[in-house]
Amino acid sequence: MTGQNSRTIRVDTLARVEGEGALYIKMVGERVADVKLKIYEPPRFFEAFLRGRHFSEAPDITSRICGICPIAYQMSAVHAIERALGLRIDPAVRLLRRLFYCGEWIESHTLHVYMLHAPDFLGFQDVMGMAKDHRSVVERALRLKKIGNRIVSFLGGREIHPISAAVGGFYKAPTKRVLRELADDLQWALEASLETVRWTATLEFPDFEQDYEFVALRHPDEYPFNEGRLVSNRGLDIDAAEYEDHFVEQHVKHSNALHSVVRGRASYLVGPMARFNLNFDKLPEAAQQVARDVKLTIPVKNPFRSILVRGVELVFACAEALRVIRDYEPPAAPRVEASTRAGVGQAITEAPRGILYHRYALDDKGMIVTAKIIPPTSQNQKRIEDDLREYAPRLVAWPLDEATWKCEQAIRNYDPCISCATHFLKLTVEREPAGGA
Amino acid sequence: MLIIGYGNRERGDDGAGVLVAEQLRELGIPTKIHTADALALIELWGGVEEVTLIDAVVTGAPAGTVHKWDVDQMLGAEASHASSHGMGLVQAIGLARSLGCLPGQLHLYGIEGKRFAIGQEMSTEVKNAVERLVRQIAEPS
Repeated sequence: MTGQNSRTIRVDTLARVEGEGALYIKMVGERVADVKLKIYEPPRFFEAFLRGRHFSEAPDITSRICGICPIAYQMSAVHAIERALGLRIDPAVRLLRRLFYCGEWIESHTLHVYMLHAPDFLGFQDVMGMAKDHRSVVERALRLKKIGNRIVSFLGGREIHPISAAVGGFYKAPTKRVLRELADDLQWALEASLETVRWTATLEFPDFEQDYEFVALRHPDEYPFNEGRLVSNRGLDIDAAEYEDHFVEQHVKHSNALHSVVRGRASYLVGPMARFNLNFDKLPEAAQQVARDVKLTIPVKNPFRSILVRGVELVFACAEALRVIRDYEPPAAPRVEASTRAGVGQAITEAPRGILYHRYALDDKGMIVTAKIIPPTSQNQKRIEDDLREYAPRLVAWPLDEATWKCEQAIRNYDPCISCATHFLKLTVEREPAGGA
Repeated sequence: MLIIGYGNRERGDDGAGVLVAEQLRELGIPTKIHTADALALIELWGGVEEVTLIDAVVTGAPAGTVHKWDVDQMLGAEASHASSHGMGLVQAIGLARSLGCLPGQLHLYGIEGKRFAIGQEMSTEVKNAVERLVRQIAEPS
């Protein structure tokens, strides 16, 4: 058993990943023989559940797919159905939807940056441990997250709510005065977000860069939420309706999830790093400036530095929410009434973790014939495995428990929402002699 | 006094806490339902003196067992880690304690579940346990 060892990293329950899953890495000497990340795929259940339902139920049903990002599911659903019905929404509704998304990004990014990812960099088991030494930082995070939650609750994210998002708009439109009540909190949140970027810049990052294909929405005037062409740094430039022509979902034996690849190419990366690298010029000046201050320059190719990018996106979300509140005038009608027709509609929106694709086919009574949902985590899954294949060999000299922890950290770079995808996550590392079987 | 039902109704027995809260509402007892991350519980109970929290758990006990814990038992219990939410309930409670924002009194009810797959129906044992717990909370002896 001397000489080259084979070892297996096995994580049966990945901590600080939303939900549960499992990772298995087999190394023979310094060579990675196998990487398997197991993630299940709950949207399949919801796709089946949606069939035969009226389109007006889709925003509520799909928002139940994920407890962390219900707005993303609502937004992709309403936009896809509006395209199927040929509906055009009021510009004021469009603004409100941007505000809605700002709330979710603030909540989700704050949770991940401070509570789930930062403990890795600071060497704490979890945020409970971190709170003892970094109390004011954790308190800042809680307040920031609460402000995001306030926006989401106000516009009706999780529970049925008078203002909730609907196909064609919202059930009710808030007054200008009511929105203004959020402004003081958001002004504080903007400062706290700038502080978040500066604070994350003090962390130490492994020297690890990869040559990614970044995929994100791009809009001519805005940092993307609900609209834009789908573009990449390798020449992709398509409409949402063409998504399934350019991306393929492959079945893999070890996971119920499907692996997404760019047709004719390989894995790709969606989420904050992709958005940032492809849309830096659309960020507000405050966000661009703080990125430059901390020497975060495009293209960012080190996935561990995604924690900084999330911080910059927090700055954007707060600045954008303040802009919406300033510019908002209530729409003439809270929503456009839909006249029912048969059709197919696709939409892509930018969930906190990356692009979320929905497609609906409706019959002439407005009933859903088929639904297709591809969440960001399943799109990133193959890319996470590719990162681990490159990263694991660097950990050969580390004790097994530390190597395992570092692999978990590499997975957390992607903020994988496995509760959207599964229930428990597990990681496995095994050793066995090289040149054996 | 605030009663919070926590869980995911799309995941079989995980919806136990939510169902308790819904049934208490039908009896005219105000409750809150929480389906998002455990961390946001700290926001929900902010400033409240007495809180009762109901969640689904897995401790190895027979399905339908109703556990009652206080904060110290919860923080000391390995079993409570089986709560099925990413940012665990135990972590949220531990964090709240270290930041001094726990309610004065926090009562925790855990309903032992056995199946948690997406789209699965709640088990009979858990449904019965929900009814028992609703009666117990609504009509304290």
